[in-house]
Amino acid sequence: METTKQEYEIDVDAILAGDERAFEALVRQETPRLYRLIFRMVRDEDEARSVLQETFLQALQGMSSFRRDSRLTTWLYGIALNQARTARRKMQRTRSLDEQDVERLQPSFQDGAFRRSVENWDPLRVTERNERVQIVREAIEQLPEPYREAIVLRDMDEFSTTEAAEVLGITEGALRVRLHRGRQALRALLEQRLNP
Amino acid sequence: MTKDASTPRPMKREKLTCQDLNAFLAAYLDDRLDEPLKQKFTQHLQQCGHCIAYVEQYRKMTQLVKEADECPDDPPEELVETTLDFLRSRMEGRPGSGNSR
Repeated sequence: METTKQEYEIDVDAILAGDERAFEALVRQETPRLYRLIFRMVRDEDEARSVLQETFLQALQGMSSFRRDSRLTTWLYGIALNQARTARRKMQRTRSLDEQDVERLQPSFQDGAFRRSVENWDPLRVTERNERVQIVREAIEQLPEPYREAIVLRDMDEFSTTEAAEVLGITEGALRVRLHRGRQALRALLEQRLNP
Repeated sequence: MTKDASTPRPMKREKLTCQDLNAFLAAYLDDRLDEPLKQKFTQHLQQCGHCIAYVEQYRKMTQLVKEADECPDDPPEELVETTLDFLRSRMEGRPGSGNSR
């Protein structure tokens, strides 16, 4: 796994030894990216702030459980993701689609060919931008958690496939399956809304 | 890399179908197909109007997701300090806390 410049700046040994200044440096370094990840998951500024603080607190209190089998930041993002999931469930803003809905939104094939012809429409050229953005946000919110998280991490937050898979605790292949099914469901949802 | 259901496997068939291409699409965009499979993929893609349209729309999904991002580039300025204050207040009085400040 590629080691980033950021990772060199984090003194993992000092943090594990309980050095508060080293942990403070971690907070200073990781807050911007961690906040953006959490915000994209919960989509609420106050909630994102609260989840961020609880994430660092849980990390600080549970540092002895960090086993060095991943990067410290990956472990930290995993905690954040769990906290964000809990916060989202409490907020319960949108009813998610279920797995059967996602299956229905996948393209179907007969003898290897598309069962229905693919219409030639351009998702970036339909409707006015503000309306389009709103429709896309609503569609992302509708996706079941595993697909939404994969898309937010990989396509919105631009984690690498490797890093996104590590944060979610799944293989790269499994992440790619979630991404693919999520993107296809999103495409079908948007086709219904933008190109009826 | 761990082998699983989504790991692209060598195709014995000379040509890919639309369904094959669809199954390999995410791996193709991640540049994870081996060279022979990639060649079959692009060969099909150059000749199939349905797949050209589908792949183009699929690619644009990632652009639409990015466009729909409402997250500010930088977090609120005071967030680091309020987070550190929060941690100090929660850890105060705990064994081992407050030694390094």
